[in-house]
Amino acid sequence: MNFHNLSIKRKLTLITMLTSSAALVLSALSFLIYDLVSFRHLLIQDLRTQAEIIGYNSAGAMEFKDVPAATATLTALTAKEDIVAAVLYSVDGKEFAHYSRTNDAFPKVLPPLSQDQGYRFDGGYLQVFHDVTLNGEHLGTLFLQSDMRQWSVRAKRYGGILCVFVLISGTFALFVSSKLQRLISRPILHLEDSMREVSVKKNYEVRATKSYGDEIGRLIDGFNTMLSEIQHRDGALRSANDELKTRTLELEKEILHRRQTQEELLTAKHTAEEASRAKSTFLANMSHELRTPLNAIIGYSEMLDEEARESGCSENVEDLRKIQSAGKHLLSLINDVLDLSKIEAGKMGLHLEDFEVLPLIDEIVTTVQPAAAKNGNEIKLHVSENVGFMRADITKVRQILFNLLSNACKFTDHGTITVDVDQNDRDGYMRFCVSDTGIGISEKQQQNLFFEFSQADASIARKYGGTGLGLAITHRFVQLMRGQISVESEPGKGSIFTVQLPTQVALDNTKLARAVAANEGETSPAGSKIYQDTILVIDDDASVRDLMSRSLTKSGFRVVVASNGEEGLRLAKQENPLVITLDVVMPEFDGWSVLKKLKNDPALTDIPVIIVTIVDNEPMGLDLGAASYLVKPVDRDRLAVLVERYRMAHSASVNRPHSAPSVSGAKKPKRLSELKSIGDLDHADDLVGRR
Amino acid sequence: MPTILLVEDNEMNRDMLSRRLQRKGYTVIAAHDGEQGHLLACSKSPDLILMDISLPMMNGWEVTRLLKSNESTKHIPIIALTAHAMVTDREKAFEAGCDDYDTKPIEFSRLSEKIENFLLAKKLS
Amino acid sequence: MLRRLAILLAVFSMTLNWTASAGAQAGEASDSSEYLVKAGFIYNFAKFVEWPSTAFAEPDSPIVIGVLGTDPFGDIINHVVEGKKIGARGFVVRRFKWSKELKDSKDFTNCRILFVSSSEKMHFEEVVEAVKGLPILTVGEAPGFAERGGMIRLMLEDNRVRFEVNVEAAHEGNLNISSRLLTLARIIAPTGPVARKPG
Repeated sequence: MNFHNLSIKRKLTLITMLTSSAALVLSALSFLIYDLVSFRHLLIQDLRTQAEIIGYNSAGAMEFKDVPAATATLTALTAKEDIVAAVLYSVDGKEFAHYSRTNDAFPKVLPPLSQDQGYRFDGGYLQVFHDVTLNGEHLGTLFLQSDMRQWSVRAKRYGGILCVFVLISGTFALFVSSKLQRLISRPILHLEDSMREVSVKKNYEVRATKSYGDEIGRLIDGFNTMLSEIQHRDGALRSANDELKTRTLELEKEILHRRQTQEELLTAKHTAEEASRAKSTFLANMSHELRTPLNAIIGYSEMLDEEARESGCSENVEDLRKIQSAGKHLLSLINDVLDLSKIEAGKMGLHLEDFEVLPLIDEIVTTVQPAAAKNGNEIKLHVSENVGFMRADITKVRQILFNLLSNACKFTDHGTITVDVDQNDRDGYMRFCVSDTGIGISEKQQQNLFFEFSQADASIARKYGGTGLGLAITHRFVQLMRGQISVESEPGKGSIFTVQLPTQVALDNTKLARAVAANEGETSPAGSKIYQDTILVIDDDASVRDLMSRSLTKSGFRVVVASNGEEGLRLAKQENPLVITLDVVMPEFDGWSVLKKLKNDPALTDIPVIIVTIVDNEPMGLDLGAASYLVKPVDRDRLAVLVERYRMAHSASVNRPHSAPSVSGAKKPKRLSELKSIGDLDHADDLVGRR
Repeated sequence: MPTILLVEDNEMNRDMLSRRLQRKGYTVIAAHDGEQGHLLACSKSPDLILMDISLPMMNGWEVTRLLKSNESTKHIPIIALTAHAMVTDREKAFEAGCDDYDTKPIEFSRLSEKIENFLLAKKLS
Repeated sequence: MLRRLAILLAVFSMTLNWTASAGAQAGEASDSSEYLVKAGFIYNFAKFVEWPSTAFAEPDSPIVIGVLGTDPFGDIINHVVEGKKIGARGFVVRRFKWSKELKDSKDFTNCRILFVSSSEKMHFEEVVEAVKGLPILTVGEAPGFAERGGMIRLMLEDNRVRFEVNVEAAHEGNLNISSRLLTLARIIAPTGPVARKPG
């Protein structure tokens, strides 16, 4: 049985018992030994004394040679049971008188003494020698032999008593210690029970009762404290768990709801896209379908006209001319209507390119020259020195200017038509002014001037020709390019039409797909460099950078990437991007601190920062100055929409002279749905889907 | 008499243009689809090609590219006739290798001017 | 006669044993052997008797052995005690004849041991009276010696020399006889009205 694994009870009992028994035995043994040793000495002394007395008493007998008397003296030793032999030796060593208890053999001759003490042990007997003297005269030697029986008896007796005593004491000690060990073991066992209760039943309300103030008591206190702690934590854990469950459920619900919304949005989006596509297809088809037969009409009539003139059938010429004219008129009507339809449908895109303004003006003026000459008008052209390039939809600009000029020609008779062009670099717009000395426009007419389908237009169109839609289209085109058109007129005096267009026209966000055409590549075949808006992507994940880069490039942006905050800041300063996307979970450079740095740098603070990250901490991001917050994985469309929005806002703030401070500094829209129109942004809803 | 290859799938347009060009004095070969156009261009070696873009079989860009990469035909000036006036179309035209383009509806005088310029240039070179 | 023979034999054997210790001359008359032993005894008695301090003038004053009456010892006693000492004391032997003059002169009173020969058995009481209170060990051999006031009586018994002791008488003489001697002796209580002191 391994002692170590015994129970505390047994251990304590055993320890106590054994130690006390050992002490007992040792002390008893030592007493015993001491006693026996001293008893032996005593016996020796006793025997020697005996010898002395006997010797003394025998002196007379020895002196007088009285053997009987001597023998009688010796025989007195019968009383001493332990003396087995007593012999008196005369001086010559021969036996004088003897006594033998059991008639055992005794030495007849005085044995040689080997010890000085006058006694010796020989074969289990104690032998004492005593010189018998009388008045200094050595008469002989007394020899006493003892079997030390008293000693043996005593030893045995004492040994026996000792054993019994030890036994009894041991038993008693056992009993007492087994009772007393409870003092120690009971609290321990109690503690053990409590612990078992806790661990098996997981009952944390259990507390152990403290019995004494000793170390075990303190242990119990500690145990109880620990349990309280555990209980507390267990409770906290449970409630946290419950909360977590609730939260999870809520989150799941939310996710479900969002998924549903997402699906709805997607469906709506697809529907919208389809509708959009349908519209595009329709318009394209219509455009083509309507124009084709009309081209035939016009073309053939032109041809017949030529042929007629050549062949000399001039009477047909007039009729053919009429057909031509009607056809052309119809064509321009169709064109105008289709244009307006396109604009209405939001399908009118801007095809931006850089072009020189002066040649365009020359071209247009040249084109209108015949019309002007027809009415006897003179066209004056003033183009200021600083007029250079602009970036816009050249076709539309042409159309606008052509419209204004042809109107001016139409409504002026023998007057002057002046074209003024100047460029304002500070505010970034180009101004075209077409003034005439024509019939002018009344106040009332001015109100409806730029809107289609007004009564005035119809009658004027009938009278002066034209479709009556020209100014409406012009107006829309100007709007599309974020420009302004205004009129000053006094009936009879003439009119001044002023068009202001940004020198760098920005796309609106409905034509993201077409942006590719305008913005792809660094140079067009014509050789002019097309400037693209730059987006800086800061993300430590290479795959994310790649993805964002590709997605944004497809949307027509130029993308610069940085893999850490330091590089990002450097590139931001260098490239001055339109928008910065920032991941806030990055090594080395904490994204939040990058954001702070960006916002604290006056050169960079206006650049909208879109936070793109896995962590959802939108409030913090927006508080620190982020313009938007997207959670990965990012919806490409959403990102593109956002970026486009910023681009628009940026150019609008740059190009609109009367505009309020830049949009990025003003209130930041938090959700696309909360977006208020900055210019024509109704389309935005169409794209993303109505909520 | 300079020969002009007209590749146009629309019958009326083809007819109109051919007749007007003929009256101008050009010899006109007409093709009604890209393949035929390509074939005729290779076989007839015209002095100029008027290439409509939206063609069946093979579209105008393709034909243009083929012709421009072919040693025997790459010198022939090609004027693309495109229905759209989009910048992309224009760019695509030049990208494909067209020497010029014109937009429909064709303004004949404008077109003939362009044709004359090319033929003149060709004659001079 | 037979008795005498027996004694002789005993004494003879004893003499053989006693040669060294007794220091007696060999080849003495067989009669004298008894008295050799007795002389030896007298010498031994001196070992067991304690005289009072006043009994001797000097520490080395000899122990005077007086033989009163017919000397049965002859030279034997001289030989026995010759050269012997007990402590520092040697022995001197004197002989006396009892007479009125002796009694008056008290000359014999300087003896410490007085052997009263049987020849003076008529005068035992007188002698006892004369030495009463004196530190003289009276030794006799006549029967009744002890009863009549003598201190020690030597006798022959079972071929052995034995002795009787009158402790009373010894006490009267301020003599202390060792118990060791007494155990060997027969104690005689004095006849007469004097009660025995418990011994």
